Amino acid sequence: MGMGAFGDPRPKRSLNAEKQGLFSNASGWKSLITFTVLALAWISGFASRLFAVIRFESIIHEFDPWFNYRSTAYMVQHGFYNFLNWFDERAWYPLGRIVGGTVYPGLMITSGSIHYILHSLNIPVNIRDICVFLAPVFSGLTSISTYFLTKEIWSPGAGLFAACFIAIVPGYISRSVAGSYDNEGIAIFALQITYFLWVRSVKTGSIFWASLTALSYFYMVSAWGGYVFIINLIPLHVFALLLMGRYSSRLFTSYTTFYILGLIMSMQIPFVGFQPIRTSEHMAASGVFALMMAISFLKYVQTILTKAEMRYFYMIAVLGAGGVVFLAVVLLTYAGVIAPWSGRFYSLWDTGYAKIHIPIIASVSEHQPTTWFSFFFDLHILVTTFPVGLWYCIKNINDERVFIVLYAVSAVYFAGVMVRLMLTLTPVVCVLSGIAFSHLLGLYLKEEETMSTPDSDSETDDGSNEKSSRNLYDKAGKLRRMRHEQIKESDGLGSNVRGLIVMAMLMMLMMFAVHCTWVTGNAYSSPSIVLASYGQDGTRQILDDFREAYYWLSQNTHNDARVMSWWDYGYQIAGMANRTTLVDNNTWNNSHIALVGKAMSSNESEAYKIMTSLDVDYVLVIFGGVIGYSGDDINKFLWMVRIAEGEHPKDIRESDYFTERGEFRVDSEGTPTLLNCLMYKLSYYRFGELRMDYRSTPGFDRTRNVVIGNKNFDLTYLEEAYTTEHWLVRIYRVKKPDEFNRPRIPLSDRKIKRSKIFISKKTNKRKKGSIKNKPTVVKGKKPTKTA
Amino acid sequence: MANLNSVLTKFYNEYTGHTSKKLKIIDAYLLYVLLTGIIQFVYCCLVGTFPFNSFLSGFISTVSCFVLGVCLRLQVNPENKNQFYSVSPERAFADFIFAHVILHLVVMNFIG
Amino acid sequence: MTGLRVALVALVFLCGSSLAAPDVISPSLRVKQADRLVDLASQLVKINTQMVFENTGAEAARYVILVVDEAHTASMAYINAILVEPNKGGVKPMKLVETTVKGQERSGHRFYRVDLKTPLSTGKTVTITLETIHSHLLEPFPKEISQKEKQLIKYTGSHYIFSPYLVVKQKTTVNLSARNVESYTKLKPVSQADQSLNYGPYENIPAFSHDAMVIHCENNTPFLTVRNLQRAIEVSHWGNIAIEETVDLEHTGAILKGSFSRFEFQRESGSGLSSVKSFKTILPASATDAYYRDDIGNISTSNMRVMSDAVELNLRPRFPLFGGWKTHYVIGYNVPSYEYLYNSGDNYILKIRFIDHIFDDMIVDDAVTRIILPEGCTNIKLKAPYAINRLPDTLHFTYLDTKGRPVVVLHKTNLIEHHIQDVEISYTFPRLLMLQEPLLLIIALFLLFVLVIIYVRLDFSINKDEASENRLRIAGLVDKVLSHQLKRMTAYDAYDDQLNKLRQIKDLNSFNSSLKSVTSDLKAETQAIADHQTKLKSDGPELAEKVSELQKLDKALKEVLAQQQALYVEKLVPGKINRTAFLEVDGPLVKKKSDIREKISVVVKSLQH
Repeated sequence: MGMGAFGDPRPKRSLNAEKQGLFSNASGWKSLITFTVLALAWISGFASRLFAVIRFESIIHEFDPWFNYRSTAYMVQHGFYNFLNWFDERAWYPLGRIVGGTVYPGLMITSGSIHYILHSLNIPVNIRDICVFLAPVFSGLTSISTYFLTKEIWSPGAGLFAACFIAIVPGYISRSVAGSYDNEGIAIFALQITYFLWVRSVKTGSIFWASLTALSYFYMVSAWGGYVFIINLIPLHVFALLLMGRYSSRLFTSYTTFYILGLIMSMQIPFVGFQPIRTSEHMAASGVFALMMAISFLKYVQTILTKAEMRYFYMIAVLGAGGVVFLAVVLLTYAGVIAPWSGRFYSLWDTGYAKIHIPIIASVSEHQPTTWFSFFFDLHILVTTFPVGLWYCIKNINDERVFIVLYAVSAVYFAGVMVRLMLTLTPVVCVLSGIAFSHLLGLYLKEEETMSTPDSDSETDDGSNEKSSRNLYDKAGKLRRMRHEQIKESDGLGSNVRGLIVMAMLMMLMMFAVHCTWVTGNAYSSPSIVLASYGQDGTRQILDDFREAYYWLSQNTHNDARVMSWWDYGYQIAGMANRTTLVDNNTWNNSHIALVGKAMSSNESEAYKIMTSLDVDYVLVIFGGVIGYSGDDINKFLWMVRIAEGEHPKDIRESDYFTERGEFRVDSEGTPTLLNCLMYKLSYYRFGELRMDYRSTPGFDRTRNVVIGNKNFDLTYLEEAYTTEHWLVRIYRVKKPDEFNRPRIPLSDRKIKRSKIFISKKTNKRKKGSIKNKPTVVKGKKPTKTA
Repeated sequence: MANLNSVLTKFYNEYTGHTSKKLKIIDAYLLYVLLTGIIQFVYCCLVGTFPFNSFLSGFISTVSCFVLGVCLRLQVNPENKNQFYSVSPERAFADFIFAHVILHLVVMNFIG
Repeated sequence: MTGLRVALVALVFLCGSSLAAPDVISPSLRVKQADRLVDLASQLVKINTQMVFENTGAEAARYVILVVDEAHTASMAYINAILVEPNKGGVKPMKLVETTVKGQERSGHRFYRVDLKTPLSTGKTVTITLETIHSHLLEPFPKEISQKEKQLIKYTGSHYIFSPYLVVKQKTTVNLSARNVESYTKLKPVSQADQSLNYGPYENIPAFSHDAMVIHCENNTPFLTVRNLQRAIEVSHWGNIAIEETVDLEHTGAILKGSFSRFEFQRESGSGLSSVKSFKTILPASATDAYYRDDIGNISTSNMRVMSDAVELNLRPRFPLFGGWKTHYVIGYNVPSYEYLYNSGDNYILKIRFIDHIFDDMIVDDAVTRIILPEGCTNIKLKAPYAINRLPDTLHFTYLDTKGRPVVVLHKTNLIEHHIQDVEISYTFPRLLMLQEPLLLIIALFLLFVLVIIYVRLDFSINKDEASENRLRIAGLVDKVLSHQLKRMTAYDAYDDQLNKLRQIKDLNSFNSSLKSVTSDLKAETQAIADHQTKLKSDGPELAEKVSELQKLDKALKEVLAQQQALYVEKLVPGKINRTAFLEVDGPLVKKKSDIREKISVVVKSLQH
């Protein structure tokens, strides 16, 4: 894998350098080492994200990235302004979607401008490749900005550690592998750079840095909805500093400049609009802003007035200001000017909230609470070392470290609430673990002269590691303190013990690198639109059914055909098949989704009414019963029922789909409602005849391991239009009213007296006669054929 | 009331006595911006906020001017030198201009 | 119609002068014997007519006229005439010139004149084979079939060979693709054998006779048509030619009626007989790095077999193609340029196929080939084996281009396998231009480095005022002080270590010797700091104060250490003091020492900020 060195990519060059004794220019060497480590971190981060490309191909992954890719392609083709005004009539039929006003355009603009620059340099890179490789490239930028953040907070050595960690930590890779073209890919970079600039501006108090903070905040706002995290965390930091009595003019300049510029810039994003002054999520920031103004005014007055006068003044001002702000917020919220917190926001505080009130949010797997397992899976040993770093920060607190402490605490909480927010936790974990590791290694590697002899059996790699890290800590300017600690320590610890500890730590780092590679390779590098299955002899078989179906749609249906499917596949249908969809992954209209859910869970004739009212031409379902694919529509079906029930409680009841014992089953014990609903029929149409092999019974569903309950049925209102090779995707055509067979009227009959006699078709006799005629016709034909 | 009055007079005396000319210029600018902001606010209360983005951009730009002015004043003030050891007055003014360039570009875009 | 015209423009051009006067069908010529083979085994109709012409007149005939009847002209993709000379051993292709014929100006037939090298004198015979190939002539009948049904096609032709001369004796054989024939017209004598129908012999059929022949039979061979072929050939003088073909494919057989059933398609053998699951594409033998993809990524189902004379790709579209279904894909590969590109000096000739093989018996409705030549080519000339429509040249921009590469755009409709022939493009290219691209790269990198150097060397800070310079100087001084302080502390540490050693080992000699260097170090460092302190005094009095504080503390530390040393050297080593008393004296000293160190570190920290 070539990942062995990733855990500690400290270059061996430093060792050589020391041996040569060419240390005349220490700062030159230091920057060379820093540069090399960061470059290596970038390269290794980039390389380990390419598993998916190497194993499969350069392709956009999953669901949302397809939308982003489609809009980027649209922007590249039609230009930026047309993109902002783009009304997409291919989504949410018949409503349509104003794409420009409902996306965070940062991602598209980023890759669009890269595309533009490359093309103006005559480098004809396909926009798809830019989209595919955007996230890995940005992961390198993320690790560099993490380096700067950590350097600002602790020391350059810790920064290098943190940069290496974030380059390969699975928690971040999971969102930034090549092909995962999603907002998070660039947003984490924006997040880290914003935090770095913020810390820098707090340190210096310079307007310049604060303005840069606001600019990068603007980029973050344009890229991801997670900007709310920043606009709450920074005021929280300021507020905490105020409470700790650490007010300074530096804090005032940096915060006020950042806030006011950030405020007006964030309103430039159409999707955000006036939210920053209207919703409660953003109110903390403005409250702190007002507070800052008040306090600075007081401080100013304080410089002039005496203490007694001051106290008097203070009372009036604090009471007045506090009262006014509080009243204003309450009144405005009450009057409806400020919107209360949104549903997703509530679900952050109350994990049960979504399940009860918003089934759509709860139905998404990445909105579930995080399990302990996934903490370990995504962060590995960093989970254990990051509290150490946190502790060091608390112990040696200063203005910047207050920030990182708050960041860590809040991110841990949010990550616990939602799997998806693991992503915001990961950077801070890397930062703090970097601090912990650098500090610990600094302690134990101090006495290099005595270390070198007992440590000679360890790898040269280790040797280089200790030396270079020591080298870096020398520059950290913390020498005095560490000396002390070391002096105390040296009484208790022999060099062997130190060697052991250092070895153990290096071991852990090594294991971390191995784990990261393994997780990245196995868990996070599947494009999910191409499935791979492994035979017993290790040969790999690619199941390309999704693209098969989407491509069939794009080539063999008319251009404005409308395809009904569950919302999960909306973006993919739009992106790959370029056909109109009813609902998609932008779940903004619950009732529309509920209507689709209702169609799927009603019986065929009911569903037909809904489908004709929505002008549906094709219905697409995912069915995994043949190959045992568990993410199919039958397994998602209960969510469709639930969402449909939420809007149409009279027609759809969840209990109808459960057996008396409360089970959801599709075998012969399943409820008749379930066995006759559209989703069941479309999934299992003609499946009852299919045998997997000679021993098994026909109609055996390999996903649910049962023989299906309703085997022999026909479709009246739909016909099979296409089914992929492994039956994974099934597409049905909705017949036009004049097309489908009314029950009991055979085709041949209808053909004869089609148009005008339609009304005068009266008795059963004719039909009977025609039925009798039909077989004779067939019989008469056969001999001529064979002759 | 008398107390408040005495406080204010003292304040006035201190101010006129101990503030450098440079800072006074900045203070005059701040006062002007503050008044502009108040006028804007009163106007919007009386007439309405109709093109909301225009109102916002106007109002926020005055607030930002004020805030940036205050920051400049803080950084230029020799009393604060120990806090802003890396920021010289010239540097502070350059930063001030930089922030204003950004601000007004955005405001131009936003005012519609 | 256009297809035919385009196909023959070149020939017409070559003999343009003879067009002026219409030709005459000589009444003295007649066809003595004609054998026709109509091949309906694929989607193409291949008609091969061998005719033995005999001159019965007095005058020698200089040419014979061949004709293609109205019904076959529109679909004709290819026509060729061969002179058969069995005694001279073999066949010789002949030049066909489209012409008009007296008395037949209004008809839709097409006439071709074949000039004979040696005029046909009286009583002599000459054997000429006329070969025509027609696309889209077979008509699926019925037009729509369900998945289970077989595909039937209908061919409408003539029982008689269409000839401007009297045909004395003629026979026709029709080859079919399957035994199953629904119906065929029965102009006797006729017989059916295995997969063929035999008509004739018919005798003494007058000129321009037509008698409708309709054959309705099964044909499940793939009916695939390339609706549009975009072929791009990018020539690089660095040794590579990249070829990319974009193919719009459609199944033009009987259209699928009703639903598609995957179950039947997988489980029943007779289902979807006329559908196309895969086809073979043959690439040049030297082709490498082949890819097969479409708009949404690679098509993972294809096999490549490298054989000695070709590379065979077994392409499988994403889905089986049923009647009326379409697909679209891109296939690309590289070939080495030495096989196709020849030069002498600055003059180059590129010999490359206008189109290449896509599948057997292919039909290409419309092909556009773009040949992208290296940047800086001039004097581009085209030599085509058959009439090709050359569209205006365009420019193409790719890596490291400045003014764009010239692109030769060629267009032709209605092509079949017989059109897989080389076109020749000659151009001049100054060799020095080869250096342009590496030079560009070098210059770009050089500029980058220069920029970095400039950025690093020059100071772009906005305030070049004294204050900042002063500050910088102070910072530099403080840094120096700090580094000296660091060294001093290291020296103290060494001092400490030596003292400790002394306490334990009580070796006075080694102590004294090592102490010497330590004290000299200390002195030097202290002196250095003092120097810097005086410098600091003028610039930053505050900092200078701190440094002086540092010096004071340092003095105190030194004193403590001296006391300790005295204690050790004078009392402990000679053993003048007992343990408890020693500890009593030593303990406070150690404590004092650590206190002072603590204070020093505080001062150092304050200096750091």
